[in-house]
Amino acid sequence: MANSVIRVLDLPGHVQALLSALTQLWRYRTLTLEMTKRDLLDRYAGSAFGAVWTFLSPLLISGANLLAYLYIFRIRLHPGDTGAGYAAFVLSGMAAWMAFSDAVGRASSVIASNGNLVKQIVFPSEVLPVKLAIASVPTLLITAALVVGVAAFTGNGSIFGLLILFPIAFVLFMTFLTGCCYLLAAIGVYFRDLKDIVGVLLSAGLFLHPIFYPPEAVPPWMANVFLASPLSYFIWCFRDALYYGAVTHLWVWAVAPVWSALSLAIGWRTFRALRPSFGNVL
Amino acid sequence: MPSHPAAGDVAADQPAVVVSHISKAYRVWSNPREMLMDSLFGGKRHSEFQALKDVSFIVPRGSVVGLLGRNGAGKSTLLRIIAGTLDATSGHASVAGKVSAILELGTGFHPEYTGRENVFLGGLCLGLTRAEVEKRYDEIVAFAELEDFMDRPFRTFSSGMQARLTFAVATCVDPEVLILDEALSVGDARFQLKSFDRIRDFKRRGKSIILVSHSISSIVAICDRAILLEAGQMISEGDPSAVTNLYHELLFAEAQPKLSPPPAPTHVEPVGEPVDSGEDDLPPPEPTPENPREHRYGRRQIEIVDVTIVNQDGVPVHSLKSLQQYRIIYRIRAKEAGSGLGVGFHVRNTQGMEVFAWDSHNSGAGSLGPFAAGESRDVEISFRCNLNQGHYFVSATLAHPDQTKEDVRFDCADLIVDPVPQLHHASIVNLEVTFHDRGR
Repeated sequence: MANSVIRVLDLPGHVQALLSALTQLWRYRTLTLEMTKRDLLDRYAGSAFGAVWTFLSPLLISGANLLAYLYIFRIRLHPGDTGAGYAAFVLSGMAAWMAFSDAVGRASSVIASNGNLVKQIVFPSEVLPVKLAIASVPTLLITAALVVGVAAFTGNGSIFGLLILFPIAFVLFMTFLTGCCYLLAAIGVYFRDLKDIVGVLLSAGLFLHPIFYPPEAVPPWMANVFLASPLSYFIWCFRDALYYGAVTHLWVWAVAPVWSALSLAIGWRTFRALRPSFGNVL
Repeated sequence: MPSHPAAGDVAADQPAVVVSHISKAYRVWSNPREMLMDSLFGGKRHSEFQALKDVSFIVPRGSVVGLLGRNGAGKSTLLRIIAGTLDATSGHASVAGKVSAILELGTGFHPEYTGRENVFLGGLCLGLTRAEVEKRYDEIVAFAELEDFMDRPFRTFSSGMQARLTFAVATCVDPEVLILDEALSVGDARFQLKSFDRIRDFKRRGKSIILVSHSISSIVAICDRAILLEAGQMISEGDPSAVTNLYHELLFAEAQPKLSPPPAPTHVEPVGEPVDSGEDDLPPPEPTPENPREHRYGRRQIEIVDVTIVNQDGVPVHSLKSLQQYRIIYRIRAKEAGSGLGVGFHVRNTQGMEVFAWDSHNSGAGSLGPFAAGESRDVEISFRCNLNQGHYFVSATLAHPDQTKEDVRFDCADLIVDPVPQLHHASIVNLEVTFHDRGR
């Protein structure tokens, strides 16, 4: 146990891991994009609208959310809010959450379900977890676009937030997400129950992250829960970028990159360490 | 880890593949929970299965190495370790250059994607860029001869077609080392010839190939060296025809106890013993000089003590004339009684290629008459020497109908055919050509 603590804090190792991750990912970029494309197409293979669902599905889900906050739930962020403000507030958090749960929910079984590739040919299995992360990008961007629209209508958001903060938040979040996918993918090969555990955690997690709660309405214990989850920082970043249009808490923007780097480094190292023995259990 | 180092950085004198002291033990857990407990807290809740034991060999650049062994001998495990899709428990394999592998047929390809999509995906997996796959696409499809099928889902391909496409893709990337697991056994004869040609072409260009095949003839035909694995251990390495002899013995030598011949006495002799003891403890005077090439195995309770080739007049001959009639005489001696036996007569050339094979059971000629214990008698096979000039070897076999071998003597006698001036030197057989020009 002590050993693994030391490894988590092993900074030079992490830097090396980050470099190797980035070079490997760059090297297999064509394959990764091709696999992502396949992943998105396969998901709706056989349906009448096909790939259109890639865009339609997040749009409809976010639209349904929007209508719910406008007309069903009567939560208002401030006097004068018609509900649209709250909707933009929630959806700015939902964007990251939906992308996260889409990718992470499938990460633990991605190696097993591509067992034929991993086992039979000389295949860079490193592309599989990344493909999941990239496949969640349409969901993220479409929800974000919707938030931008609503926020513009309610007078929230800013050009600065959209053009400067959003790209930064996006890169940090994708790095973090890729790391999570690597970690879960590697462990999921050996521990098949992980898929179900992750599923349960994801349903509960929606309420344990700063998504629905107006800042004043967060109970103190809940605030600590938020701080404990790395994902919260990225939700806050996206909220700053899309809803507030400004950096509301500078320390959040300072902590998020640390989580990103740590996640990718640990995820990559775990994956690389376990990968050679994947063949034993598939 | 042999991932894909850039090709072209290989020194010419460096072997393409070095396998040093590889052992592989699969851990087998009775259920996943115990595996988790083991990995978290250590301990031994598993049993081990030793798939490979201290295997070492080198594949020089530009050579073809064949891997032989019975099912479960560890061939595929070894290939997977060399290809890098499996880790070794100890020892390591280093591969110089890009590896391409077909480890199981048709897999690695997605069954739902079309042939075209699979070619692209397969090419990308093997490290090509999209443009490179596009450039080679036509060649791949032409080689696989699947022009009309490329837009159909891969699962609708026949297994032979799947094999052809997989082979075409795996070989198109021009790897330094090509690993083929049984890839040559599927596909029709025509495609096999094409595959052989491609492998020879690879070899000419200094690439190395490791292949697993159960076909002794293809191992002999295309390999420079062969390696025989048995129960995870390398039991023989060297000249393909010598190694394939041993493999043949491994496959057929073990007589199952229930298959012993009906009139045989019930006390069962230790089956392996006569094989291991070799020829030394067999004193019978053997008129033909001992052939150093000979490889012999079997129960040898009834054995072929002598093989002689005689001419029409019954005179033993040293060399044969093409198209003449000869007889081959097996002197058979029975230590115990036996019946229903059949004899076989095989002819191979110096490369180990089987030129002719015949046995009395399969040919419908039936079995030999019963042998009494202690009996000794001759069996004659008449044949016409339809061979061209050259040096050949006769293998003589004596077996029960259930394939239990009494005596198998590979290459036990020389068969030398005198030059036939009318024929080209390279021909093997003499087809007794007659010639008519109807216009003359």
